[in-house]
Amino acid sequence: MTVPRAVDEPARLGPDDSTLIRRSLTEAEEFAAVFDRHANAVHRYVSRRVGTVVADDLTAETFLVAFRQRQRYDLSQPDARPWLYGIATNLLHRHRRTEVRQYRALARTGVDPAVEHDAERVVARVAATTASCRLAAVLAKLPVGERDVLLLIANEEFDYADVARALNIPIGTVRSRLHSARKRMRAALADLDPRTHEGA
Amino acid sequence: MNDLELVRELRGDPPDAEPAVLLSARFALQREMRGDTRRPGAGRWRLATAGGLAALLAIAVVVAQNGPPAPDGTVNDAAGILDRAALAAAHEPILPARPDQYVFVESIEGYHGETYDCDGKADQSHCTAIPGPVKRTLRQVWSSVDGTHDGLLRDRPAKSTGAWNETPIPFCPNAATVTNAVPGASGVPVTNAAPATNGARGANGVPGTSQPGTSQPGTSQPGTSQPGTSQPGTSQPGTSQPGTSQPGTNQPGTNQPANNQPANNQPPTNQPANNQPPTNQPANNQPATNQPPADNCTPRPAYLINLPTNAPAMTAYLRTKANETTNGDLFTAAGDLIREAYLPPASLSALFQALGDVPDLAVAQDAEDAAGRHGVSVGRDAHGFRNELIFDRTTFAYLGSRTIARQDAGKVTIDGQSAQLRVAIVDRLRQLP
Repeated sequence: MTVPRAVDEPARLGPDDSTLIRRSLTEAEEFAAVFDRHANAVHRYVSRRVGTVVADDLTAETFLVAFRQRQRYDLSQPDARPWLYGIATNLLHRHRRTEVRQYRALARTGVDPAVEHDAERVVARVAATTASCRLAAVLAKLPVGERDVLLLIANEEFDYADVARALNIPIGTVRSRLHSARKRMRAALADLDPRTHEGA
Repeated sequence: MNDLELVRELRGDPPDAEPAVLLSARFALQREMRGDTRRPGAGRWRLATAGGLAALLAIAVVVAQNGPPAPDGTVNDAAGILDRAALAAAHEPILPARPDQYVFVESIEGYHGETYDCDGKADQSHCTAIPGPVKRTLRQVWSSVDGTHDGLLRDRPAKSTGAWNETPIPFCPNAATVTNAVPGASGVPVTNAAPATNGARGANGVPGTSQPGTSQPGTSQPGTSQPGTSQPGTSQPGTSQPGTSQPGTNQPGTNQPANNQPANNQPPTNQPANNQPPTNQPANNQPATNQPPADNCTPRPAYLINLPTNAPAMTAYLRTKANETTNGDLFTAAGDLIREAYLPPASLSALFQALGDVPDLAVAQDAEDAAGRHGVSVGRDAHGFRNELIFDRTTFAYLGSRTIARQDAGKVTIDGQSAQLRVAIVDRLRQLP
């Protein structure tokens, strides 16, 4: 797998996101730097949820929406990632059916439709375990709010505060949704290897 | 492995986004940022059919078509290639420089040249071009970063290991000489450029038509064979070798018989008229007209730190340059600008983006530069020539340029080529990186 031309590599250089966004209020083109920093990450996030086909479109859309809404950005936040992921998550809800269908298929067949067009990955994924099938089944049934919280934390390593910002919900809600989602998962995995549900 | 890790493992790491996908998204964003809603959707390119360009439909088959890069990853439309080049340029590290240093550029110029048979039929309205032999020259140029120090050009036949032919590039060859200086010269961005007028077009093919702005580095005059006027001095009497000095980078109209005129054959005196700096101005050929007196010692930085860094401003800047020096041809002006100067990544990127908006671009999937490297090229027909910029096929780094002469009966000959080999910042003249 080749890393694309380091689209998010320069992230550690230069002004922080809020500075760029503030500048973009008067100099629109400044917003391009926000894209360069985060586009790849947004694409990966969406791709992990619904596959690359949707991610290709949704990444572009996310940044268009973000650009149009940049006046609403909270300039006290140096990192734009939660804001961008929140926009992407909202857009993802249009693809909720696709997402659920993919998890269902994965649960039944052990093959992930979101990645099946990629031969190499299919081979790797064929070795689906009982755990992953059950997990997919849980994810398919999770309330969408819980799934958002769970996937931001598990896949994107967001902390509670980031998730709260992304989804525009109180931290307490983040905590309770995560707790609920994990309870469902542990229940589904309870009779398997006990190491799969140690506390966290 | 806890449950959260299991979730993460469920799908593993997705493949990275295809660069073409991100580019497509980035340019959608840029259209939005420019407030440009005239080109909705992914396709950002269309044939210009307006205003006298219909004749160019003959080359429509190779003109870039609508649409994003092909799904298989190949990029075969001009806008796509320039988009990739822009992204590649943007991610190059910046070369830091101090004002007292030099921009070093090593390149090969290949000049195929032509002689002209203008006798023959009585009613002949043009001369017949006879392709000449190829000459390749290795050039090393040291140009002052801030434009206030003397520079140096040295060159020799590309396959030679013999002595260099050195040509000084004086910063201020003769302070008494009257020449012209323009606002916006030498890397000062012109952001409020007037919309393109065709003011310069009237000069098409008229060698020696005087235009303002000729003292700018990196520009060239129609009707002359000097592209890299950032190597001023090369056309100075007594130092240059007519016919061999600036091959390969021909401008529209540059192969006109005017080149064979003894423009540089004047005696190497120090008369002001011959000491016209650096820019191979038409004044060497003709009495200067319309040239306001100005300081001859205007700095001509080779480190173009003040150029625009976004596409619209760069377009405006190029338009000004083009109207001054290349008969309004943005594409040629861009080639002149980058050939032997240093553009910081943001400006070089903006330049390639700006070129993506130029109408009627043509793509060649296999174009060879003067060093024999093959890449893809984007070019534009102008005045009987097609000037092309060549990019690496996979990295989309700028390699060089070539000029194709389109001759009768669709016969095409390579007229000139260049290859940029090294660009670096050094402390002293003759110092190699």
